[in-house]
Amino acid sequence: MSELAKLQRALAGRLVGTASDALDCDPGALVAAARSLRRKRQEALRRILPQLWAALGPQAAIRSANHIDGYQPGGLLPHLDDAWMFAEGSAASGDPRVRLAARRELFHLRLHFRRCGPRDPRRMVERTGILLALEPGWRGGVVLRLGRWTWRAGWPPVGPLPRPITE
Amino acid sequence: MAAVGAVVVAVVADLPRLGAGVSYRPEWRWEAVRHRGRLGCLELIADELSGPEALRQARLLDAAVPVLLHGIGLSLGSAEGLDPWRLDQLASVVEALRPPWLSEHIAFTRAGGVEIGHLTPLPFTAEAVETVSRNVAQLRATLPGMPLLLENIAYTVRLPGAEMDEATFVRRVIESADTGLLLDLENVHANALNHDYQPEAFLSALPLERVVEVHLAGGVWSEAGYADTHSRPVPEASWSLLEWLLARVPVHAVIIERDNDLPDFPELLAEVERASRMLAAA
Repeated sequence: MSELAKLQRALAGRLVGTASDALDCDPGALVAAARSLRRKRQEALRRILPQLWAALGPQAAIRSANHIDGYQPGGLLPHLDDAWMFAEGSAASGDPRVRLAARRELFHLRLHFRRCGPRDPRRMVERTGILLALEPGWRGGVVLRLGRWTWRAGWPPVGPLPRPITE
Repeated sequence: MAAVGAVVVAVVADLPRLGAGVSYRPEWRWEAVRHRGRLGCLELIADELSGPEALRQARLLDAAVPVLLHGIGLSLGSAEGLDPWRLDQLASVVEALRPPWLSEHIAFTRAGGVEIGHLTPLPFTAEAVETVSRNVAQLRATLPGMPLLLENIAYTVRLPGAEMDEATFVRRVIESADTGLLLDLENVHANALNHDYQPEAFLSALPLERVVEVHLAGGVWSEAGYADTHSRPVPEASWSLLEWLLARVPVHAVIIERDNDLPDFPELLAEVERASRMLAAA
């Protein structure tokens, strides 16, 4: 392995917390950079999953930190991959409010994206084709997605679907 | 190499002058179309165009305002080489949109199967120069004829083993890979503050004749220093650097980047118009 490859592996491991190889860098700067990356991931989770974040309340920071410690996002849309897995983990929560919020967030993600098979490095891609789905919750509606067209119906009347999240 | 470099500079000069625009956010879709007459271009993140619907939306935007493609995840500095599937994905997006040029970063974003999720600096070494050059050659072979630009990044961690200073490193990468330069002036501003150098001296050492595009953004002070967070208006220091640059070389496009704490679109348009006025006066 080249010197550059060794350095890059050590630095990547230190920044995401998967390794603690010695590096001849300012340790304070490394710690600050690693913390900044964690904050960036937490901020992305908050932005992509606003309902879940609100339902978690003060627990959001702790739960998301635990998720960040245990999951390495990847693929073509790593922020969305990260959010999907955080929502999936939260969908099994013992708190019914958190569980419902997580299921609704997953519903919206699934409307626009689908998970790839375990051997596909893209992890998730844009959804194409037909999808008929029931939105979770008593105020939920029935959503039909056909190509680029989406219809949503429900009673009491439900509003338009949120715009797709692409980042 | 000198003859090839002269050809690249000639190609750079022939690229279209697009004026000033913004880095595109889906939240601004309708505003961007509505204000298309005030935008010279829109820059889209190529990695986010992950399927036919995203490409259809990008084509619709392109019909309203010229679209530029900017990559963030190719990891051109990776010693392990490029991911073939990422390269294919990028090639399909470029083929679909045929932008006037394609840009990526002088950085790496993954190593040893770990996705860092951030543009990470390279050591300022000859090995890193050769690595970027080799990866760019592979990208060029996949996208023959597509003009390529490389962008300087902001960094807080200084890597060990430097054999040259940052400006020399950027110059050698650009000349060795034989690309145009996407000059991020906010990154220059941030690095100058964090690493204590004069930004004008840094700029003077770059191959400015290869500048095609400029990025401007605003950051905040954090525990790690001044961070290029793309969350604030462009600071006066970066506007001054643009003025300094425009007095020396022509610039084909200026992009105002904003990713966090998104302002109302008119606030962003005011910055675009300031850049447009400076381009027109240059």
